[in-house]
Amino acid sequence: MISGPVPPHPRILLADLLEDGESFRRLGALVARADASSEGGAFATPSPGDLLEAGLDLFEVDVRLGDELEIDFLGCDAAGAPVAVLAVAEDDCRDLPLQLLDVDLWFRENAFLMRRGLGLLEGAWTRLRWDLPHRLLLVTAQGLDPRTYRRLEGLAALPLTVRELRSVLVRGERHWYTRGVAPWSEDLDVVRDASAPSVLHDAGRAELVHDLLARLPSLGARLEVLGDACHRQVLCSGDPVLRIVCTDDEVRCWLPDEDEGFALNHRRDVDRALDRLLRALIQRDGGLALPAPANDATPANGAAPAHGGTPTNGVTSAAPAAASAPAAGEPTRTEPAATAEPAPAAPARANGQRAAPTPGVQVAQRLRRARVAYATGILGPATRPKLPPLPAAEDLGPKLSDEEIDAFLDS
Amino acid sequence: MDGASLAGTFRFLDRLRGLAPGRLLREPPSLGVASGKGGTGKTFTSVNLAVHLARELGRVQVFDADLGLGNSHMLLGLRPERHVQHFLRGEVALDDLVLATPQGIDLLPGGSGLSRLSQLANEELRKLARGLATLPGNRGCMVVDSAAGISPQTMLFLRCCDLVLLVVHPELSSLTDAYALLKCLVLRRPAIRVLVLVNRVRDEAEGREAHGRIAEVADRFLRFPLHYLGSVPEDPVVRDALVAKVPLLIASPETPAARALREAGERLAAMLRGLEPSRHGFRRRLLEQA
Repeated sequence: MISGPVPPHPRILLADLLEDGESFRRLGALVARADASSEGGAFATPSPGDLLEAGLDLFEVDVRLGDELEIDFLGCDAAGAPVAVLAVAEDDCRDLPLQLLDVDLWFRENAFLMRRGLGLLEGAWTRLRWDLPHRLLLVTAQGLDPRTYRRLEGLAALPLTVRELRSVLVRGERHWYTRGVAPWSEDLDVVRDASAPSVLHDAGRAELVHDLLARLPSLGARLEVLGDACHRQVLCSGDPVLRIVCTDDEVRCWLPDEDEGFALNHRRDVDRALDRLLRALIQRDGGLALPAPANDATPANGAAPAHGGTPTNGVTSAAPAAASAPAAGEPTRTEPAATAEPAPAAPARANGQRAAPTPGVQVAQRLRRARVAYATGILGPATRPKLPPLPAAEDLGPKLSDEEIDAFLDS
Repeated sequence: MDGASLAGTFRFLDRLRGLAPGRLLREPPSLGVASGKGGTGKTFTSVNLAVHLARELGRVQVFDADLGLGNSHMLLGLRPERHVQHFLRGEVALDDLVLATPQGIDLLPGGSGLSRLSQLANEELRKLARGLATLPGNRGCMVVDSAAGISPQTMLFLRCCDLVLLVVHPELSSLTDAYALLKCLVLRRPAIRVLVLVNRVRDEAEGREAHGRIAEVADRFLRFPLHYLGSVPEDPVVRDALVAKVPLLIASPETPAARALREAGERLAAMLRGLEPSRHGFRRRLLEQA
């Protein structure tokens, strides 16, 4: 059996390109960077970042964000916006959606801190502008399972760009280039006519509700909105996944298993609501498991018929599945189809290898643990959910001895 | 672009986020107020001692660590709209929760009627610890009004304090429960300093006797010295002050209970003055142990 050369992991390849200019030339990256200062489209000397995107500068490898998150590169794009780069091969993709959500959340929550922190440094950071919205750039290895890309389509709400790292052999020399894979925005059936409820006197909050409803389709298909102007339920395959209640002066949202819910007061609350909902959907649908293949009878994510009810003036007709849906706030017990059904056979690859099968028991266990972690309502790192540890022995109680009790009684 | 500077910035941010705030903050001394049994007057004592300490030491930060059942705000006549849970959900910064009072107290309310808060997950405790670490640290002292009992969360907060004040009643059950709490505390942090304040006594002698009983057992079985801070006599004006939602030291400063509290506060202030602002105080310990 003849096997071809094993391509390097994109992370290793990119790090090589970044750290060693010589290897960048040796590898012969096919990069064309238009120099704005020159006329007639002359090409300037490319930088390693240009391999991914024109004008992208990568400054740092293996950057830790907070306690447990790590990205492969940090850089800034041509406009100066911070760009978090993750480079992945097939083996890294099991937790990828949640990992991307975590990184996105970190940037959203810490942009203010970064601005303050960077303000203390002099001389550097002239290009990186934390006041601009961050971006996520995912660099994938060539030949990634197409189903992995389909799982990422549900993350259209994130500022995510996906590029696939490819190579060609020209006269015995390997050249590298990247091909854009996402955003998929043109594939999404974005609903734009979701109107804000009329009960809200506060136009700002009405706008937030409108924004939330309008962005729901970007989370993927199978979502439908039922209810009236005061009380709406977002259903996924008939199960409630989000409840939105509007009163005179407040808009409040609840995810299943949440007691108190959270208020929508600012634009960032909408971001947060979408983030929580997306995480919940990923867990609910066995986000760690792969969706059905494209030729499955079930329409793929993003296919028009698969979209649930379309909100019309904020009210949709109830789908038949909604009749059996549990009441609002009741924990969903329905097992998602993607995990209940046996994993589809992995398609044969060009080189004859098969993709790793979908993990079964381990995934189910992880999902259960994730649900426990998310029941806390904390947007912690979802990729590493933790169960609360057992208390230390001394915290179980002082266990007063008979002598000690007698001492009190006798005194 | 300088990679080393970037790495340095991220390390700096880690500190800023509370991983190692010692280089940024010198913390004022902290006093944990505890009791083995509920209803001993712990919050009443905390608030009134805080009022006195604010006069003696400068602004006092009161952290209502009775999360979920906190009522320090009631005794100060405040009605917070948001509490720790809003912070844990990421809706507000911890700074935004702090309520400044004219008595010199900055209160961090703990939320009332929220059972969920009484058993925070580790991740939530860590988030809270980080939030506390970013609060301004230039206070006269910090008073941590803990929940009654010996739940792991309560013990964690108490272990992190420089000084712990046990508020007890002179009854046997209150004393044994306080001793049980003391034993829990000393097992994990033998070097901690613990004081006793006996509340609702008939006279000073009863307070000293109650302290003597618990101190004797602590010395005999734990080899642990238990200091006497004072006693507060039973006084009907206390109830009036509680109803009026005004600290007793403000409402009726010349009553016997107020005088006793003031004397205890003076002794306490002297002790706290002896504790220099430290780089290893309540917040730092909480960060390390949460």
